[in-house]
Amino acid sequence: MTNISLRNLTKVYEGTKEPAVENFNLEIEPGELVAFLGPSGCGKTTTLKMIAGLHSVTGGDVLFNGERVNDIKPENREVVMVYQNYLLFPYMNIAENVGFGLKMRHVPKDEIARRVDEILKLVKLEGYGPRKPNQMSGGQKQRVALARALIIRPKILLLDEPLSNLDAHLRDEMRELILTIHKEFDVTTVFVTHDQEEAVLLADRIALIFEGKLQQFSRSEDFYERPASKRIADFFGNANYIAGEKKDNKVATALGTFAVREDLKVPDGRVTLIIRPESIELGKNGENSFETKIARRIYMGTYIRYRIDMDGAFWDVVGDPHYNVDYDEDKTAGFTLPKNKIWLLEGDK
Amino acid sequence: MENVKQNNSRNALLFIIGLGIIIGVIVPIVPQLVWAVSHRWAFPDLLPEAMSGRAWKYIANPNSKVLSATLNSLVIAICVTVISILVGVPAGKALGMYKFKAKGAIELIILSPSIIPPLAVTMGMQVIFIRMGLSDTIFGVILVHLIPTIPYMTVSMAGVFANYDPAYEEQARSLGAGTVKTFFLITLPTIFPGIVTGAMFAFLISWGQYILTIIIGGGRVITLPLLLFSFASSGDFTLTSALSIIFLLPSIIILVITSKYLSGQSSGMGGFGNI
Ligand SMILES: Nc1ncnc2c1ncn2[C@@H]1O[C@H](COP(=O)(O)OP(=O)(O)OP(=O)(O)O)[C@@H](O)[C@H]1O
Ligand SMILES: [Mg+2]
Repeated sequence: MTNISLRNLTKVYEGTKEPAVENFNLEIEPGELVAFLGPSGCGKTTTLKMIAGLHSVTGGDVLFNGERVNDIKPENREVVMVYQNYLLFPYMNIAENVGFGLKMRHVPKDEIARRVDEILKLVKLEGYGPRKPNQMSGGQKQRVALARALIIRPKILLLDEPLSNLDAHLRDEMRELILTIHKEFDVTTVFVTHDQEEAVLLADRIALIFEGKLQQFSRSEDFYERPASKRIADFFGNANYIAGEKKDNKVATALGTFAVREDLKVPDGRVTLIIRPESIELGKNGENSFETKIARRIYMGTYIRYRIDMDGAFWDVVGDPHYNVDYDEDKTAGFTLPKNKIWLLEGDK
Repeated sequence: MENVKQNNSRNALLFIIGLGIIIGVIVPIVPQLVWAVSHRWAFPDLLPEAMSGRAWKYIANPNSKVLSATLNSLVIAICVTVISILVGVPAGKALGMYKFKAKGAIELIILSPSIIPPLAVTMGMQVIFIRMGLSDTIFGVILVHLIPTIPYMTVSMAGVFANYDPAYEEQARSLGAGTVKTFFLITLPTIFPGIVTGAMFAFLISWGQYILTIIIGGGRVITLPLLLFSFASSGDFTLTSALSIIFLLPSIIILVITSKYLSGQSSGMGGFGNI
């Protein structure tokens, strides 16, 4: 199994000034399933292509198991990239497409045929070998592309937006297939997505990228509970903020003073307090509770959502799904911020 | 139901187009076919008075210039086609796929020979060719035929490459194909239909060229169109018809090839597949 290290990886495309990827540092464990997550144009594909050797690097290094591979040609890297638009070779049939990589490795014909059948079975396309790509649906093409990549048993599998061309139903199926394959082949896998939910559902760890810069690389829980910036917190669902002054594990804000965990490594001074709408408790339950006005009560079907007035700003609060507690609009109500759900960022900008 | 209806109207359309082709292309050839083997064919008669193989005997006679003119035409057209491919494919790739400085200007330079009438260009070139000793030579004729064919080839290849997705090559590389294999297994099959079409038309442009040949060839380089023209003006219908049949042959062959080739799925990932 292969580990991937990116060291100060940088890419500036010819004729452009701004780097598409800037100073990436990343360690991907052998056999890990990692998501590159970020908005369109942030450099996800560019990074994948540098790992695959399809784009040269402008600066920094790509290492597999500690060995620098910058100068190794893509055909010799044992890294396969699967593209969003499948790229099945149109004049080859499905079996020829899937067997392409083995043919390049001079595997005997009968062995290719056997392994193609085997892998088509794995992606549930048994018997589709003689078809042409234009006789396949989008979901089927995607599975052919996956089979074509896996048949050579690559060290690293790179998937560029594997789900974004599929409709919701197929997406679920494909997700399952990716997980199954990842388990079965034990291959270090990086996939690209701009859908945070997809990243959370599939990945062991997520690399969040904004404008060519790696923002945070961690387990998905950390993005919710320990975001490195306001922007990251916003990218992963909703977040509520209030500025304050931290001193001795207490934060003084316009709405009162809140106790925070001792293990938060934020120095005393100006801070931003962050809490998720679903972490706020209804009612005054001792420490860290306060009263404020309900500005809006929004019925969401499975639960009720409140917008509460926080000294001019508004916070979102997810209400009780069982409707045991139900506040009216324009009334004052109590809320509690559980101490262990509060996260702090340095500074109050 | 919907589908059947659509198919019917499509078939009708194809039938009308086919009929048009037959009337426009094939019917005019019929009298020539008859003329080519007739001895005398006076006006009101439906068929010639007597048949004769005179024209074909003349054509087969080594002293008649017909064989050498055909050979000249063939050699010139083949050379022109090959050179057009060698220049037009890379130039078309650059124009179709890459952005670079002064691209607009280069595009204009490449296209200018087909915007300005070639005759005007050739008149000027003749002077230079005479000085360089290129006029009256086959080589000079080949060069001058390139004036219309290279822009043609370049523009049609630019169209092919504009639709071409280089990611296919990347995909092949990442599956283990080296650059050479990638070219022969991926790039070439993709652009091949485009090259074939461009090449066939480059061949035909050269094959049918009269004015450029006579100006630069100075009447010394005799090609089929030149011969055909002189027979036509001499009023020998039998011989003229026989020659026109030879002259038409490549067009007919190419028509058949293109219609087969381009209507299939062979246009691949780029090329005419998306047009
Ligand atoms: N060949 C290229 N030449 C110049 N600039 C490029 C090239 N390819 C990408 N870029 C630029 O580099 C930046 C990153 O592109 P990249 O394709 O890596 O983004 P991405 O994160 O994959 O986006 P998307 O989600 O839309 O696929 C973009 O600003 C893009 O315009
Ligand atoms: Mg991308």
